[in-house]
Amino acid sequence: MTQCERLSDRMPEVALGRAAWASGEQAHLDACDDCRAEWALVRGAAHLGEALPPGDPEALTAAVLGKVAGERAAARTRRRAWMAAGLAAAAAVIIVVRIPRTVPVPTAPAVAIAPQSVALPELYDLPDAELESILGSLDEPPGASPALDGSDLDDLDEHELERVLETWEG
Amino acid sequence: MSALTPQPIADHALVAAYRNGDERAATELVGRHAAAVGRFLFSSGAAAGEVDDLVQETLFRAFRALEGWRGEASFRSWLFTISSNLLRDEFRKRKGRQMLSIDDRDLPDRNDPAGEFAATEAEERLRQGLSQLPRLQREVFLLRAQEGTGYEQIARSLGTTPGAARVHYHHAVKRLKELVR
Repeated sequence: MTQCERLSDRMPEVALGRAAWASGEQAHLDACDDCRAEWALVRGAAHLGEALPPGDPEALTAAVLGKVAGERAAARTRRRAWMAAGLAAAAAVIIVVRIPRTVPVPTAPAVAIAPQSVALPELYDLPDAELESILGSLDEPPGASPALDGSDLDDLDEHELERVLETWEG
Repeated sequence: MSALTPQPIADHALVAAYRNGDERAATELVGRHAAAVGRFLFSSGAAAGEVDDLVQETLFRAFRALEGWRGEASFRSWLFTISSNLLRDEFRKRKGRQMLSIDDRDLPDRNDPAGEFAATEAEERLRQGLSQLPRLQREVFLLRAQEGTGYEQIARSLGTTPGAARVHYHHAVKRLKELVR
């Protein structure tokens, strides 16, 4: 190793104040242009940015950890959304695959015919009152029956209620 | 007397403590390394006014990836590598425009004694020169000059050999001598 290489290896330690030049090293430095130019670079770089204002470590840590926590929470939310979408897709596949084997394919539903149904041409001949009555019955929800509902039962006395129950039980 | 002086907790122990939920360990790590990261970024060409944000982003990337730090290289040189990647990303985002410019430079505020920071002309030339070096040359040079890191440790940090790190250093010095006249 040449004297220049030895000096080069020692430069950072001296520049950072962890060591000092020996007298022989200093003499070489004074005489060698190459080493002097390198020393100027190393010494300059060692102290670059030293005057930057120091930050507050606690505030900086809080900001950094807050950002990390925020990103992790967002990642968890994304993961859950993907899992939910995956489960929904899997469930859809299972339903599509299994239903034809286990559940008979329903035939076309029978068309519910209202008891008061009348062929269309005949409607023209009906009086207004009868026509309104038919229209009213069509407005009822499908399957609605004229049977008593719970609120009607409340209005009955005991005898009427027993008769209704006998009727239902046959 | 030395028996009374508490030994500083090693970085890897602080990292382990943080992984176990101790946020004070994170504060200690930030306190130890934030300023050095800032100087590294500034020396690599970051504008003084952007250093704080870049330090925060560097530390964010580091803590986010802390599980991946295996402790083979020093924590600080790992942070420097992250900083360097960040600078490269920023450089690409700006489509190759240099971050460092005379306009970006913090000029001294004569009314603010605390803001006496003013890069001398020589420092600016050095920063300009450093920002023009290839990434590995710049990292090796700064790890040597600002941290006094040995070639073995640099090689572990940068995934190269000590001999190659030495070559990068000498190329950096040669190029800087041309750039900084």
